[in-house]
This record gives sequence, C-alpha cells and structure tokens, in this order.
Amino acid sequence: MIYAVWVPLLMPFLAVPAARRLADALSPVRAVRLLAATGVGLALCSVLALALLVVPGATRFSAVSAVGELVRPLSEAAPAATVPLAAAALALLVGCAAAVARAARRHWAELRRAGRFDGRPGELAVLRDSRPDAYALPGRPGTPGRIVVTTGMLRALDPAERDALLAHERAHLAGRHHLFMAAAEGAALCHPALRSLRAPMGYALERCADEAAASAVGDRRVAARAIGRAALAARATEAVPQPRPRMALAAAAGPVPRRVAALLGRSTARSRVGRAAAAALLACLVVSGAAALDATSDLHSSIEAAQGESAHH
Amino acid sequence: MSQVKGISSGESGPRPDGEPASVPTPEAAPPHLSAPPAPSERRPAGELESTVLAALWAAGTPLTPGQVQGAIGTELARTTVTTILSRLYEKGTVTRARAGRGFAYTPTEDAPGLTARRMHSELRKQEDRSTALARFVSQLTDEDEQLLRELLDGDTP
Repeated sequence: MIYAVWVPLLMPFLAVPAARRLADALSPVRAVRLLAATGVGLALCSVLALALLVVPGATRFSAVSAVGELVRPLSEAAPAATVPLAAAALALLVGCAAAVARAARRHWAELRRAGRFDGRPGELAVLRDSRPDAYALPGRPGTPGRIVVTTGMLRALDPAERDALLAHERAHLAGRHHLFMAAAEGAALCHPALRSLRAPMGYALERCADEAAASAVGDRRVAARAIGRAALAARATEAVPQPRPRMALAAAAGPVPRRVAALLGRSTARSRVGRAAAAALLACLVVSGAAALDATSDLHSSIEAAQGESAHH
Repeated sequence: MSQVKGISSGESGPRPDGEPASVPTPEAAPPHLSAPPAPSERRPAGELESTVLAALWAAGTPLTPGQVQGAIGTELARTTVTTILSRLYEKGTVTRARAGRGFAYTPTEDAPGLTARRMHSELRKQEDRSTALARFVSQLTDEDEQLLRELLDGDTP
C-alpha cells in the first residue's frame, strides 16, 4: 500500500486555514494569485491521489491488466481492501468530474447570455430601478463585458463616487476576475476543504478592484465612501433584512466594512503573520505535490515490477 | 476577522503607510471637489462616455453640456463634453431636445439596457447568485452597518 497517496487528500485541511489568513495579510493582487495557485494546485493533487487509488484495484481485473501488460496484480494487499477502495475513489473521481463539468457549462452559459449585450458598443448598461445595485457582467473571451448599474445606485453616489464605482467594475472586467472565482469554485468541487477558499478569493478580488478604483479616481477616501454609501443605500431599500450570505463568517465583520477600512488605512497590518502563513502554506503545497509525485513514481515502479521488468535488473 | 477590531475609532492616529501624503482639509469643500483632477483627457473615450452617461441617468432630467460638465466628477473641457454627448446621441444612447441655443440630453433605455433588465430580474430571483457576477457591494448585517457608519463618520470630520 502506498501511504504517500493519502497526503494530498489530507493536506487541504491544513493549507486552507493558512490561505485564509494570507488573503488578509498580503496585497490583494498577491493574495488572488496565491489563493488561485493554492486552490487549483491542491485540487489537482487530490484528484491525482484519487486516480492513484483507483489504479491498484483496477489492475485486479484481467481486462485492465491486459491493457497494462501486467503479469500480476499491482498490490500485494488483499483484493478485499483494494477493490472497494478503488471503487470508492473512482466514484469520487467521477463525481468530481461531473460537478466540475456542470459548473463549467453553467459558467459558459452565463458568459454567453451576457454576450448578448455586446451587440453594440458601450461598456455601461443602466437599469431603471430604484434599488441600488451594480455588478460587472463578464463577456465571452475576447469581448469586454459590460458594467450594469441601476439608477438607484447612480443616484446614491456623488459624481466622484460614481467614477470610483465604474473604475471598480472596469477592473473586474479588465482583470477577468470571474475566471479566478470560477477556478476557486472548481477547486471547491474537487475537495470539500477547498470550499472555504471561495470567500477569501471573492474578498481579495473585491480588494483588487477597490485598489484599482482608488488609483483611478486618485483618492482612496472617495473609493472608500463610494463602497460605504453604496452598501448603506442598498441596505436602506431592503424591505426585509436579508439573511447573511452563505460565504461570510457569522462572527466576523462582513466584507464591506473590511474593504472600507482597508482603503482608509484603518486595518492593522499583519504582514509578519502573513509571511508566516504564506510560508506554512507553501510548505503544505510542496509537501502535497511531492507526496503526489512520490506516490506516482511508486505506482510507476510497481507497475514496472508487475510487468515483470524488475526481474531483468 | 480580528483586523476590524481596531478600526472603529473615529479619530485617526498616524496615517499608515498605504495612505497618500495629502492631509485632508476639514473646512474645505467635499473631498471629491478638492481632489486633484484625474488625467481625464487621456482616459479612453469609452470610459468618459460611461461617466457622462452615468451623470445623465443620475440627474433624471435633461441636461445641457454645461450642466453635464458640473455633474461629473472629472474636469472636462466643455467641448469634450459636447463631443461625448454627440457621440452618445449618434449611437442612440441618449436623445436630445432644443434648449435655448443648444441641446439638452436625456438617456434612453437602449437595447442592451433592456436585455440587461431581463437578465437582472432573472438574477434577482436566483437564490444562489451567479458565480460569474461580482457585485459592487454585498449585503450588510446590523453590525456591519454600525461599523460602516463609524468608519465613514470618522473619515469626514
């Protein structure tokens, strides 16, 4: 039995808490890159580990052995252990693949639907709606996407704040931030521990866009006020208090006050903690990747052994 | 997160590193007026069109180029504003009516706007909102609202 194969499956439980702290401590752009690398890297490693669990059991079947040109089964362990394990791993793999494919198709359908806006030029689509709302609607690859804003939102802000809002959404579109969010969603489908990377990813992306907006309008306080007033205006028009979004933590301050505080320079710097977290995270990733590679090479050598090659050496 | 614990005080201490060096002038006009104008003439035409269009929608009444000039956050020459407005008019994004010696402009709900409206109402119905969308602001809790008001009050003495 190859024990290293379990490491990539357990590693996300250690790496994810580190990544969540990291998103707070690093600059937003770096946080996004690291969260994306962490999520995708750990997801790939755990998928690879599942695949490695399938192989030894599969070689119990003569058809698979014939394809692999094996003279005997890979694992010395009893088939009672390897075959159910392989079956379970295979079921998980198929489940992951189906979920990722479904999510990718849905994402693509959303982009295509949004692409109908691209018939005529103009990045801004305004909706006559008194409820303040604004978002970036990404387009298909190669198209710029659109900024959708309600009249309620435009009226809640002063001219400079409106520019900050537009610059914020423009940054989302220009940076193709929806792809990072989709990557985080996809990783979350591959391993349950990676689900809690989505909220920090969303937050880091908002912070990226906030910083872009602040530098576009040339005043961090204007950007901070735009966010704050937009959120307060949106809250004022809510008929019933909305339940907290499922991604947010119940005990912590929500993302909006944190974004405003970050722009105003009121959040406490935690770069030393951040560096420590980053180091821990990277170590986890490396260990995870190395374990997966080690397991692969183990499997490879046992395949060669099973093919009867070791007899020649 | 614990980082928020230290942010609720109204009076600001020494400015941390990220803050620009400019000191706010308490008695002056609102910061957006006293802020140095962005290099707006160099901004892409599409961005300026959005700025002007947003101002027209926010106004809710027809605006002349002179009024638009006063209703946008960036400083633009009158001729630039007029050029942008005529471009928007040619695209059918705004309509215009005679007002004195010039025109007053009103935004029209154009075809993309109507498509956006349909999609918007679909999105509103969805419980689990689309992953492709990044909303400008997420919803606030009671504590968030309180914290946010303190932050904003502390920012404008």
